[in-house]
Amino acid sequence: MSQRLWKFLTSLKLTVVLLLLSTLLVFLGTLAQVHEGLWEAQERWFKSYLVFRRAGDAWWVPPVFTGGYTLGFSLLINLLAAHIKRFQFTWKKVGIHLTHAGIVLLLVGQLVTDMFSRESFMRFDLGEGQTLAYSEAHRDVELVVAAEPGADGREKVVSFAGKAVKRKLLLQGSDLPFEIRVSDFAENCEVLSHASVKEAATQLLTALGTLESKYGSAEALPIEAQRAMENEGRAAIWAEALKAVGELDKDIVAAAKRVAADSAREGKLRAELKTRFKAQMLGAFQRIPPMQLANERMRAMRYVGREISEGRTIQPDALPAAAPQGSGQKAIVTAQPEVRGMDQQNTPFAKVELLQKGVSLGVWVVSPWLNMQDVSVDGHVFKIGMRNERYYQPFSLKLVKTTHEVYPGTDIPKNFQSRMLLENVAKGETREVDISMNNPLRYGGLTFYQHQMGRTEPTGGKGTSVLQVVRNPGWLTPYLGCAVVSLGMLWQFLFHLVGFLSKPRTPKIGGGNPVKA
Amino acid sequence: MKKHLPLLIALACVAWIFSAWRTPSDKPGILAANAFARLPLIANGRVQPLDSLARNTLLQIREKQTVNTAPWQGGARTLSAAEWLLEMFFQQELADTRPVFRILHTDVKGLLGLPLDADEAHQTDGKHFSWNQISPKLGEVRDEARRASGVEESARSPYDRAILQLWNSVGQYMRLQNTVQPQNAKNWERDLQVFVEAVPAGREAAKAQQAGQPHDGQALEKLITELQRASVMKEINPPLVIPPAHPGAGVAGWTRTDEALFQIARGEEVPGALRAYASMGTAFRAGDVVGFGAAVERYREQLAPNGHEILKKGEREQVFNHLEPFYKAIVLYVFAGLCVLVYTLAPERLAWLRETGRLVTLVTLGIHSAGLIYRMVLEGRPPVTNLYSSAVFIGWGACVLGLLLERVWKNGIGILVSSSAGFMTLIIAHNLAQSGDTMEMMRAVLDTNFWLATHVVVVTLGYSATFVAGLLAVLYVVLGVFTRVLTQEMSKSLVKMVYGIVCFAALFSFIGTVLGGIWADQSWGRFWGWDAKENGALMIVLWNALFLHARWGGIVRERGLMGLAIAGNIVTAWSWFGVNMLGIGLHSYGFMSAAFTWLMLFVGSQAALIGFALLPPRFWRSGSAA
Repeated sequence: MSQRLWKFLTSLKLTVVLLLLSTLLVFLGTLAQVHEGLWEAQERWFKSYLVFRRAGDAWWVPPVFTGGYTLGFSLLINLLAAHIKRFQFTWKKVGIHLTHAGIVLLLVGQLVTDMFSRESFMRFDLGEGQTLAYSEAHRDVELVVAAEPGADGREKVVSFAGKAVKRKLLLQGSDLPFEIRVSDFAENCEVLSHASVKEAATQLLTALGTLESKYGSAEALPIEAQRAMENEGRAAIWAEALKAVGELDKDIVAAAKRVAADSAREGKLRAELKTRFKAQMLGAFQRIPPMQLANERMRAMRYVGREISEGRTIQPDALPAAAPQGSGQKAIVTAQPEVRGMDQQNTPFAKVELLQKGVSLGVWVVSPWLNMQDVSVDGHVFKIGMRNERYYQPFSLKLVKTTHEVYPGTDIPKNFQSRMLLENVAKGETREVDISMNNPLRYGGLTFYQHQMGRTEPTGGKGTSVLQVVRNPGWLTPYLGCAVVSLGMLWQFLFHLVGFLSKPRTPKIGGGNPVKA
Repeated sequence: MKKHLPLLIALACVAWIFSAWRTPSDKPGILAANAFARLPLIANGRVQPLDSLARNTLLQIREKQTVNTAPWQGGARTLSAAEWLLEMFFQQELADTRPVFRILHTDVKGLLGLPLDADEAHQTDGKHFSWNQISPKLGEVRDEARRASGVEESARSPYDRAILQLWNSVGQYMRLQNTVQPQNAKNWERDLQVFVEAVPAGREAAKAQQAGQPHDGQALEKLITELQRASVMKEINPPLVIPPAHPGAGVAGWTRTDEALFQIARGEEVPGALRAYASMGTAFRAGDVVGFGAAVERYREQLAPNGHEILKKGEREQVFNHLEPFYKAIVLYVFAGLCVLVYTLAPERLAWLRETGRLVTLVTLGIHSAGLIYRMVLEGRPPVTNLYSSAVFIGWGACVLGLLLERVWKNGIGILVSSSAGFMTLIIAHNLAQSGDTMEMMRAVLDTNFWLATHVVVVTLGYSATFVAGLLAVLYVVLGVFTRVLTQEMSKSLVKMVYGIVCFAALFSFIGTVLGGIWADQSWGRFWGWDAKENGALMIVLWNALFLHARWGGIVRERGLMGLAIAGNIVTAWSWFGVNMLGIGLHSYGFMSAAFTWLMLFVGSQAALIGFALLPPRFWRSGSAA
């Protein structure tokens, strides 16, 4: 049995099958990115052992497939086993050995990277002159409580990882005079201020109210029909409503006059018109183009439109509060389905209850959408909030100057560059560095890349910059691995080429007879 | 005679190529369109001759570099790109009657109220329409384009894409018409003079008004009215035609006509270029051939002291446009391929045809390489900078590999590979060129000649080699299944060729992919990010590795190996083109753009060939040679 297993593990057939599965996996994992986004597809297909079909998957997703880890480990085992079994040193085989050794290095390196690398961002969004000593996670959030600054002027911050919040654990900090109970959590949410919802609701309710008065009486019908002629869309709605009461006349004004005079039909026509125009308004509120959703007013309109069309009532002056304390009093927070697209991002929220010796101090809602909120406990003011997880560095970077060049007469970026002042107090180091595309800064085990660049209105047109910060202790392995594989393949290729070119051959078309079957 | 025939034919091909390798000149007594088209400007962020601007715009809106003035009837006059540009610049009411907007989508024609089919009475062939024919409904096109651009790219319908394409064409068209004068100016030289003369009084009035003193309201009003035209031009963002007044300002010192007008209004001098183009316009409209030529010449002389390099660049690129090296290569590849195909009918008697094919392929490789190098010099870049140049380069690499194979085996197969690969890739490149300027500037992240020269070149050679292996396998299957040509000997040699080429492909695609990883690590901080394009390259590496291991393990035999090599074509095509389409809506599955259709056809054909490869030997006409 074990001999058969050994034979299986060392066989070239297994290699070929694994390579085939790998090719397929890479293909499927690439296709999956279209639906799932790069991050999710990577986790599901490449950083996993098995991939199972889920509800809502595209038709091509198989019921079950081998994940990247399974294939990576299997290839590794197959490769090592085959070498243990067949290893023999000849000059001819040096190429193959080197190639495979390099592949092993690459596979292991990728695993190390997977386990230990971390990507984050340094956002200088206040513009030139801003100094930062930390970077922020792209997705992971943390719940933070900041105490008042102590005698040395530094504030004490206690943070809880997003994972703990998500699992709704009871959170305790040794420096905190209270415990935190998480009562609600969602991966993605929408936060709307009462002000924006009120504005949108008033707008919609007023519009709906006008509808009532506009079509309040039969006499108004011909006048409104006349007005509708000015607008193709409205004229079309009129034509449909008239059709519903049996008027097929193209001249909607004449038809409206006829119906207005007919007491049996005018009521129905008014009702038809009201329903149709109402549906149109609600539709307009809900169908906001995705590009405009960055605007809170637009999101509020969508929210209001959806609430009313689903039969709920909205009272602009008595909107529901997300939480009885803090910013939640003046905001509506709704859980949203998680998003997975390339450029989409989830923003979680949590409802937390603060408990002092078992007694509730109140409930707050926290989310990266909201600012830090003040909480008074025993006469001390704490700030509580949720933000992207921060990684502090023992040195700081100050954005001195941004350079953003485009090619003349176009928007094609030619050069992005951030001039930074690096300051490391502990080492007594202060120097200026330039970070640009293809020119990262490697410092303190981290690498800083130019990621984005902009210019913001609120900072008076100051240049802003975002750096990507990567910590990857295994960054050297791919370089080594690649060098070894390339060397091996070159060896092998040249060895064959020399042997091949030194043999003469000249078969010609038609040079021999076709062999009969 | 037969002995020298191949050489004579090859020399004739060389002569044909060199006949076009010169600066195009204008015959005396004919309008100096060529001299005009050599003039430099800045478009797409780079210095180029007017000739390139005209050709690229036409390619985008009409899918051709020339204009048929009346496609609904035979024998109509054809305008060269330069001649068309002259009308676009200086005689716009005439240009507006030229059917240059290519519109195929029925619903778009419906929206514009255009005839669906050829209709002589309405002066249309049903595919090409003039500005005058589409302009009445431009408002509708704009509204639809706005709506379509709000739709996520992947969810756009063919109609949405057609509308956006048309809207882009309209923009291109208006940009040209606003380049050297405001659109529809009937006598720009006079208008310009009026404007220049209105400036001093207008400025006085403006100053007085600002100081709260009595001022000449009429003079101010006049200046403002004149400047409104310039404001409209500014919105359209035309190319930059006014060179900097001070030498040393470089490319960044160029300005647009509208900017120049605003500068004049601020009291600066009238740039020579502005007046030069205006006087060219007057001469052109008057049909004054001599005056026009003199105006062009005067402007060149004006530019010469400071802009010698730029004039030279314009001239060089015009020579390149005129030479059309890749078009000539396409023709010669076909010719060489046909020679070898005929040769295979009777190899013993027609040996001279193989030799002809070989020499012509060598000549073609020469012109192919010349085109490639010419582009590199013009751009100051390594050979591959975008999809277009990757097609040109893949063809070039395949052609070299084919000729190397021919050197070893001398049986025509290598030539067949060279000519067919060269032909197909250049046809693909030709179609890719329709999306606009193929020498566009590189975005900041790609702006590194080191990585473009190493990673991109090596990985593209990997594509070339994988395609060549696939092509050889296709030959194997086609010759084996459908003809009696595939002898045992030949079958063996083909299998060896495929194996050798796959080794080469594995080496290059691996090193190329790895270099890409290192570049990614240098610029984004991760060696591997499972990005679609990276994955495509990885699939080629994996596939080549699979082929090699399957052969070493003796797991598949000759026909199986050929099937694997053909499947390599699919993998490579996916990596080269397929991944680029993911963003444009593979997941809407209804998506059918021309390129996607072709990709699917290619994949289908290759799958069918794999099917043939797997047929048992008794179905092969060449018998069990395989």
